[in-house]
Amino acid sequence: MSEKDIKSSVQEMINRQTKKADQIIQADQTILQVTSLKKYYRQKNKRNVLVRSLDGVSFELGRGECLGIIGESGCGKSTLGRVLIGLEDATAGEILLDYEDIKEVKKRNRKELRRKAQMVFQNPFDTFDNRIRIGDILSSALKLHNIGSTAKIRKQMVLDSLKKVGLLPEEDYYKRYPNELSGGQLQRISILRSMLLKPEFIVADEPVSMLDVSVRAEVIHMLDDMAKKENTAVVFISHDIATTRYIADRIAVMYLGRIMEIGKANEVITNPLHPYTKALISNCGDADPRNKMKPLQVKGEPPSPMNIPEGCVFSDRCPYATQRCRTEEQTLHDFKENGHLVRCRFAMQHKENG
Amino acid sequence: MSILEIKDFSVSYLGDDYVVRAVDQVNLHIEEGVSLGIVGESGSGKSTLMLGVLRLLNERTSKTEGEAFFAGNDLIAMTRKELSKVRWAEISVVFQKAMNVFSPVHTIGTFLTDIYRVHRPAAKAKEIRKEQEELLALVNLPKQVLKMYPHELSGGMLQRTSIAMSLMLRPKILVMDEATTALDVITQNQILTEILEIEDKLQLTRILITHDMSVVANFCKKIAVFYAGRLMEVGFTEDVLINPKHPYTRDLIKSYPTFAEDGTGTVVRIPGTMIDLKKPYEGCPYAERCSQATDRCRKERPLESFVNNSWSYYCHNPLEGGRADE
Repeated sequence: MSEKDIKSSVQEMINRQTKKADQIIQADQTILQVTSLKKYYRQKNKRNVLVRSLDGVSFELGRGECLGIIGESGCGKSTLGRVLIGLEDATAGEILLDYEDIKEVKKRNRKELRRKAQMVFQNPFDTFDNRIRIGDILSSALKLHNIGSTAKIRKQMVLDSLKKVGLLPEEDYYKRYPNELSGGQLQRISILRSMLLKPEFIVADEPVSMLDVSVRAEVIHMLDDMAKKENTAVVFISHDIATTRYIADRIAVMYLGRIMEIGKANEVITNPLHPYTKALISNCGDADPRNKMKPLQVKGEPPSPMNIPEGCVFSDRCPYATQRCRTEEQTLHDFKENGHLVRCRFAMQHKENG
Repeated sequence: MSILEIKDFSVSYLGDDYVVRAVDQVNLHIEEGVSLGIVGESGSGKSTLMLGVLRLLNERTSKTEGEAFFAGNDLIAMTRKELSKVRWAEISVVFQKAMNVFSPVHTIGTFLTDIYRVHRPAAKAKEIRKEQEELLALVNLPKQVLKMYPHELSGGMLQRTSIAMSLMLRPKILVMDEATTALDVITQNQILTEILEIEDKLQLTRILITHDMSVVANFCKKIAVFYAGRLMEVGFTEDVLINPKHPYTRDLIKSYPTFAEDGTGTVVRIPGTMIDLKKPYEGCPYAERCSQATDRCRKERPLESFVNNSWSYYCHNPLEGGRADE
């Protein structure tokens, strides 16, 4: 293939992806609506100091859509995941799953919530009990939710699903114990388990960061395939921007418990509007020494969520910050009117100035 | 001139009824002032190699064979007393979890003074103090840190402190074993850039052990790729990462999602899993997963082949076109 051919096929692929993303947004098949979600913690010894892990997060998630959430450690991305599937209760704000508040669903029936929302955790070695066989782990989920009338039917269902995701020979996997499997295999079992109940959406919290690079691709592909097939929405939480871009339709960048920028994955990565996103992306290197990174310097480290600065939360590290940034809180704004929202008053000006 | 010469170096971990060859006959020359990045997946022996060379492994549960010459002296043959003079003063190590290096009941100043007490007992308090402040300035920390306790500092600051600590006696070699992996990308780049800047000033040779190839591509002059305890390929980063000779190097590069402008960098997984090092095997450890493998690969251990005097690989069927070779 000549270079031109590759370029045109690449362009075609981008167009296809963009179109797909457009369709998802337009079809108004919203599965999740999050409105000014807040989660505050109190410290044990300092009861009056609030740790503001999530401070007003709002977004919508379409059916079958994959939203990537990126940010540095301590930005609240994992807290968001836990609150979204109801592992922890929000301090304030609303999460509507299928137009119903998850608090209500949870109050009524926890099991019902679990059928709709599932989670994949970071460390596959800690996810499973080493004394229970893979087959029993998977079929117990079915039994608990009264799927399949007899043990035999449930076994067949599990075997089928193992086969479908290419964990072969499936009989062999069914009989094995978790400690006999590698990290990549376990993580695939973990994804399979979360998808077994055909949930409406799953939260994957750093699902590949514990794995070796050579097996990451397989796990990502599997998650992507299953989600697309079942039309399951995915919230993909990661600090690895390149991986997130690879799987996500849209990306949200978080900093100190807020979304600083959200938009289509390609848009956010190639055309970041917020100074923080720009800094974050410029600091991600490539394995090709010809593309040396040109990192933008940012002063200091993120402030503690116990002591959030006034005004724009990034103002004390931002190279462009003005007096107004330090006093006035910014809101997410859609400058380009294309669903690419950014929490910066001067985003468009920075863009023009380079 | 090579500052560290590792010759036929092997490390085995001894289990109850098995032996794991974690490092298998590695030959590696580390030249003065040429920073080296050692990459590999988990279990590839990249950490064990340096731990073995510095003799930081438990001698009851591991066995070390081979030689490692530092400035003409074999580290493996040294007595404990001789070795303790080299450690930290000539070769220092920074580990991944800086937070766990510091005891919570002492101030940072205490840790930074301890080293002088052991290695430079004659140093005066005033000199020590001056040195300490200089070093902290080097890693961009205020001198107030000396009076603070570890829990008062963030992870990034502690990692900087442990780097300052490792540079105190002006070592010739600095080994960073996943030292910045736990940090955020922005902090990681700040720290690595700072070290890059002071390297020439201190005549320091840096050995960076990591699984992140983008860090090596950006911050190291040379790269050594490890797999299943063996060295696969070593050479200048521009050579190895652009035109890899070993199929494993190519596959490893391809399994990284890239930041290509068009955003379509595909990730390709390597089929299979790493061989079980408890079982003896013949030939190349990568043969089972390798697309280029022939019968010879499964039987005969590849020897070192040279592209030029700084670039070599261990493969029977090296790649011609390198990265573009599909």
